[in-house]
Amino acid sequence: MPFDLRFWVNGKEVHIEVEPDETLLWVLRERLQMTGTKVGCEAGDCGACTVLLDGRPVTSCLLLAPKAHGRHVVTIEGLGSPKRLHPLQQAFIDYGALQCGFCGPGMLLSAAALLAQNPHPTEAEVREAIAGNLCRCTGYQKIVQAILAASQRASREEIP
Amino acid sequence: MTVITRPVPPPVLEEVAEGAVGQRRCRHDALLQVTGQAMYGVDLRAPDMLWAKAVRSPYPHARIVRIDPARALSIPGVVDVVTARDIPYNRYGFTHEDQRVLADDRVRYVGEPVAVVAAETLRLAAEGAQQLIV
Repeated sequence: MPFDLRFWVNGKEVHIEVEPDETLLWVLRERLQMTGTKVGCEAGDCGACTVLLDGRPVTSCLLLAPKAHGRHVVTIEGLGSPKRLHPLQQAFIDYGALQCGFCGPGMLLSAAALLAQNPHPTEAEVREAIAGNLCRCTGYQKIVQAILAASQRASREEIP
Repeated sequence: MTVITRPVPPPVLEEVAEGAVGQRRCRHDALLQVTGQAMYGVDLRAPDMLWAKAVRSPYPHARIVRIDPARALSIPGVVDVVTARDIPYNRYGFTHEDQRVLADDRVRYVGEPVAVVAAETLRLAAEGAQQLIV
């Protein structure tokens, strides 16, 4: 029986009928045509499908869409825009924290959740926060540098 | 149905000036990548596109005696079953062409693709893959 799903995606209310066994990942990519959220292992290992659910990073491949009912989802499309990048996005560009870029959306959202909760993380805290996001190009060093740079940049901007 | 969306063409890199060596350059597709707009194979959509599901070996080493697609093909919405026999040149590889696109006479590892079922939806392709008799 279809499920009447009502939730928020990047601040916009979405009302859509889904099958109860559809994952949030499937709904985002195939029903809402938002392919910024990547599909990787579909087993919760790789973190490519990471989105924020009420501000917390979750692997959307493991979350049944009805579980998102009434909740707020943030995807990479909602993190910033090409004209107004999130500090993390700018830092990923500046530090070359991208190779093929496939892990980028998930990495960025895990990092965004970290900085929202802990604006000045240590390197160890950064590494722990992205532990669930695999980068098969193995560009971790630059990713960690970029996240640390974004946190420092944000703190400088706070000072008038 | 959305037609294949091609990525926005990358910005043209500035002329490589003298002394370019040692300068910081950012990737031409970096902006698309960090905003989730970069298109990968799995993101492309075409009109009347079919979904495919691979049938993979549950055994580390086994002979393939027979593949019977009849039951899978009898499911409405399942369009085709592709096996090694349908591939004119079933070899590829980086330095040696020693890999099979689909296993032919035997499988050599768990997870080796044996057949691909194409259907109108992913759900139907998965059902067809389950019904394939190998």
